[in-house]
This record gives sequence, structure tokens and C-alpha cells, in this order.
Amino acid sequence: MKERKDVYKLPAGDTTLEWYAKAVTKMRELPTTDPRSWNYQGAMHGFNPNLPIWRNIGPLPSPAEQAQFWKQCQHGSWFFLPWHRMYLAYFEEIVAQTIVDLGGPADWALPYWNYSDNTNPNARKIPPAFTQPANNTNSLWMPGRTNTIPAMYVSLRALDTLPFTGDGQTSPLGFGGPQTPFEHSGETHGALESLPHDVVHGIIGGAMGDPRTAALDPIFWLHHCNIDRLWQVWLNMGNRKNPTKASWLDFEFDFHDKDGNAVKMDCREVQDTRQVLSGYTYEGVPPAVPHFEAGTTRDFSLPLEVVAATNKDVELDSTPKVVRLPLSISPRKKQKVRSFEAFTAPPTTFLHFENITGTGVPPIHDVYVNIPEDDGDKESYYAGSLAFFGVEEASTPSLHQPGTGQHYALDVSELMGKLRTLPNWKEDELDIKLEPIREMGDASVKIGRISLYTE
Amino acid sequence: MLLRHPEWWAWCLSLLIWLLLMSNAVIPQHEMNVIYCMPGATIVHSHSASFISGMLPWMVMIVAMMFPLLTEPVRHVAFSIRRADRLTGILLFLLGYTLTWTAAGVVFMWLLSFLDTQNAFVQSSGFFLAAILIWLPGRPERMIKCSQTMPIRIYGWRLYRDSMNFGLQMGLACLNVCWAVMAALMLSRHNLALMFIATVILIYERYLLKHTNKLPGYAWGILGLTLFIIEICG
Repeated sequence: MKERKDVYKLPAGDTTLEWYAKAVTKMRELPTTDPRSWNYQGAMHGFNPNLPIWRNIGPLPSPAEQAQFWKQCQHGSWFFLPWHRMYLAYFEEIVAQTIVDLGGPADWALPYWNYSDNTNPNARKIPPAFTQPANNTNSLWMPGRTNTIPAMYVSLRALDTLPFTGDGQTSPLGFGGPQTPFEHSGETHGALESLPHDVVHGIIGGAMGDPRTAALDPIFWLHHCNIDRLWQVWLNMGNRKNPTKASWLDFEFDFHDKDGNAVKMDCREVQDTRQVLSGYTYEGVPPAVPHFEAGTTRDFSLPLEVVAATNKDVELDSTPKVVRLPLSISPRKKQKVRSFEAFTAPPTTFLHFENITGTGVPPIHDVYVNIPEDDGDKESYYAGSLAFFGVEEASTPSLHQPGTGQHYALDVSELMGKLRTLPNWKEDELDIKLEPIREMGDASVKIGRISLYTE
Repeated sequence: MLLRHPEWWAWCLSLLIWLLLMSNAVIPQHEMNVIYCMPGATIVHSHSASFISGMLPWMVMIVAMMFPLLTEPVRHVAFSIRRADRLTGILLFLLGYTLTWTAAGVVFMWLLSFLDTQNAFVQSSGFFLAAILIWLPGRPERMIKCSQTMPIRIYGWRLYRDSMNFGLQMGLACLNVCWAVMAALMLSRHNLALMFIATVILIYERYLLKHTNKLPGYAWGILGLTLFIIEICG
């Protein structure tokens, strides 16, 4: 059984990354029509022939094959975690076989990049093997990346989310995402998908910044290995469980095995990493899931209710934008929909950004609530970040999505409780500030609605 | 429970219509029974029926067959707005949705006036067409539009506007996918058994199959062939 290790804890002289680089080179030489090729594997996540990186890749598989196997990644869905686990497992198998064919070891396992490890001062930097040398002689290098991730973007607060499934409206936002059918671009991104997954993609940029090209970057696989590891970490925290509905367990996806043969896998088969293909565990992470004790979770039986929402679209540009959310039925009636003073403990509250449409790769926007004009201690007002990962694809009607955009939900329960105690708290309105981390460039973003949901 | 399942409003309306249809099929009543009948029974369908009585079966069919397919959009409307406005929003959505199909029904009725619906091939041709459309390019893209959403405002007249507008848009999306099946049922003179079978197929396709699945195509083809044989032999 393989053990996936922390890339920063590989012992001196370890050849894992060296063989990975060789396998990447070899896979890039294979024709795009070969399911074991780098391009084919990348296209299974996302593909757009109009993007420069996808041009001049030679003959493509038939349209029927593309429809079945390409652009299958699940986002904004409870299938986000299981699909990516399957994707990684088959990818690892293909890479491992390639390494064996090249004369390498038979026990190669995909390492993970634990960028949240605060015992490692270099954790938030892309591992050196991927950045040096910074040219095409290094098969693990890709242009356009940002090599260091700011600390706020590797937060693991998603692990505090109890339910696996939830959309932040009918129920609290789930760790894994909302219940959906097959969802390539999806609607509401789950807690782990939003942070750190989307934001790490957005910060690194380059091919990683767009789901249609992300899997072409060799660092993608280590990033997702870490996301997959965090799923196990979450389960191990206790009081958590995977969905038990047949509509999740029995849902199948299409892949190719190490010999290039078409195979199927369903979510039931990926619940225990030791049972996934030849099996794997994570260094330092117990693979056995603690017994789930029913009744120890909070009661989320009643859907949340919207208490405030914008009355028009919000278009973002390169400058910070402040949007006012009125906490009343209408400005004329001045009747309070919900008084937060009525709660003795912070009620479950989510800030939603709905029907987000756009073009290009917009910059990450940090979200602050009721931040003073002089910004004050920004961290005290920070609600989260919107990565807009895949917004252009989510905005484009196609076989895989209706084109009505993305949806992010930020858990502001604790933040609202804190803000109520501050002198600038207003019972009638909330100020939502969206601050881009860089220029918009050629990209564009429009948010259909910003809304507040609470108990 | 309606707080958690607002889509049950649409399902209940549909169920109510089905109960009425079933009771009319069993207990003869003059107006409905001349239009809805069991296979093999004497069919009376008048081309000279008034516009309203001609549209009535169509509207009933929309509520009975299409409303169960609206779980996602009804939930979207319901959970986008305040609970106090929920019923209003849902009803306006369903109204907008029905208006789109009503317009389509008018067009279909006009086209129907040029066809001989006594002809076995004409009666079954709608299902054959529905089957062919499954295999034509573009159908999965049209189907996924059934999962679209849009921002719904929560204040004042904008709430009413957006709820109804969303209904109109969803009506167009559904029409784009299901028009052939509904036209087929109109051609087959709203046969109740066929309506029921078609409803089951549509629900199965909507909730349990991937958009690229061709199984419904076989189902429509078999249905068309069965109807053709029954009409030829009958």
C-alpha cells in the first residue's frame, strides 16, 4: 500500500520528485489521444481549445470521447471531493506505471503539499523542485506562477464545518459542497473548496489559475493531494461523516486506468483511501474513520432565511467596492427583518455571492464587513475571499453547465457576533467591502446578488 | 415540512390534476371525458372545439406533467426570498412558466388544425420526432439549461418581476427540451395512459439520468411504435 508523504518532509536523497519530473516529460511526449498522456489527463479536468496552452496539441479524441471523459471535474458540488480523489488515484497509477516503464521504483506515490503547516517557515512556497530552474528544462516548472501564498489564504477553518453537504441557504454550508447532480462548474462552492482550494489556485495563477488549464501544471496534483488529505483529516476530527445517500454513493464517473482502458468508479469506492485501487494512506494521518455518534451535531433541520440582499448587480473593477446591504424589508418601510441583538449566541449566518459571471481570470477579492474607512485592523473585519476560480467557464453555457455563474458563501457567524459589539455597528445595514488583490486586467466580474442568510 | 420542501407546492398541484384526470377517466363527465380517455375507448375530438376547451387539455397537461420537473427552480425561488413572500414568489414563478407553455400551446393548436389526427402515423409521429431529437446535437446543452438560476430580488415589485421572469425563462428552457413530447401527446389526443407513461419517463430522465443519456430516445421510439400499431390494429 502506498504512503503519500509531505513533499517538504521527503528525506534527503529521496527521488520521488525526480521520478515525477521524468514521468511528466514522458507523459508530455505521448499523443493527446492517448488517455495516459499529460494533455489527456489535464483535459479531463478542464479544456478549452481556444486557450493558447491548448493550441497545437495535435489530433484530439473524437467528440464523443471528449464528451465522456474530458471536462469532468466536479466543482460546487458534493462530488468535488470524491471525483478529485478518483482523478488523483488513476493519475497516480498512470504516473507510477510510467515510472516503472522508465526503470524507476514500483512504489512511487504522489506527495502532498501542506502549505498550512505552520511549523515549516517555507510551507507556503511552491517546493523548489517546481521553481528551480525556472525554465523549460525543468519539467515541473510552469510560467506565470506566484511562488508564495499569503498566510490568510491557507487557513484551515473549513475543517470546523460539521456537515459534509450544504449550500449555505437551505442548510449551513457543507464541508464538501451542496447536493447536486453532475456539476462541472457548479453553483455554491463548499467550505474546503472555497478555502484553501480555490484561493490557492487563484494565488499561484498561471495555468493553475483557470480550471480549464490547471491540471497541466505539475503542482496541481500536489495541491489536490493535500486537499484529498484534508478530507481524511476532517473525518478524523470526529462528529463528521460522508453522505450516505445512494445518489452520492452510487454515482459513477469515467476514467482510464494505467493501461489506458476505460473504467468507472463510484463514490462508495473512495470512502476509505486504503480501498481505492491499490490503496494509500497519508503520512501522519490515521486512515480509519472514528465512529460517528449521531445526535452530537447541531440541529440544522430548518433552512436558513435571507434577511438582506442587494437590489441590483454589482460589477467589480480594479478598485475596492463597498456595497450596502439594508437589513430591512424595504427602505421605505424601515421594518427590521431580523435583529441580531435578539440572539444571545452568534446565529449561523452566511454571506452569499450569487450568480457570479465574468470573463478571464479575475483577481481574488478579499471581503470585509463594516470595515472603517481607514481600514483599521483589517483582520478583525475579514469575512473571507472570493477566488472566482472558473468563473468564465461557469458563465458560458455548454454541455456541462447552464452558464448562470458561480456562487460563493462565506461563514460570517462569528464575525457578525464580534461586529455587533463594535461602536460602528448599525442595526439597519451592513457594509460589504470587496477589495481586489491586484488589477483586474482584461478580466471582468459581475455579482448577480449579494445576500445575507441566517437562522 | 413545506419550509424545507417548497417544491411540494408544484408536486401537489400536479398530483391534484392527476387525481382529477383519473377520476374523470373512471367517472364519465361530458367535457373532460371527450378529451381524456383510456386507450381503445371511443374517442371524440372535435376540431371545431372552442379555443378555451382546446387549450384546456393542454394547460392541464402542463400542470400535470411539467410541474414535477420544477423541483430545482421552485426551490431556487423559495430559498432566494423571505419565507413570508415564498408562496407569492412560487405562484408567480409557476404563472410565468405556464404562460410560456400557453403561448406554445396556441401555436401547436394552430398547427394541429392542418393535420389529420385520425391518421395513425400522424398520431405517433410526435414520439418518433421526440426520439430523433434525443440523438441530434445540442440536446444535452438544452437540458442543462433546466438547472439555470438567476438572482431574485427580495424587495417590493422587483420580487414579483424576478419571480415571474424566472418562470418565463424556465418555461422557455423547458419548452426547448420537451416541446416534442408535449406535441406528441397533443397529436395523440392527450391519451391519459400515454401522458402518465411520458411523465414517468420525463421525471426519470430529469432526476436520474445524465444529460447525455440516450435511453429516453429508445423510450419515445417504443412509445411511438406501440401507439402506431395500436391505431393501425384498432
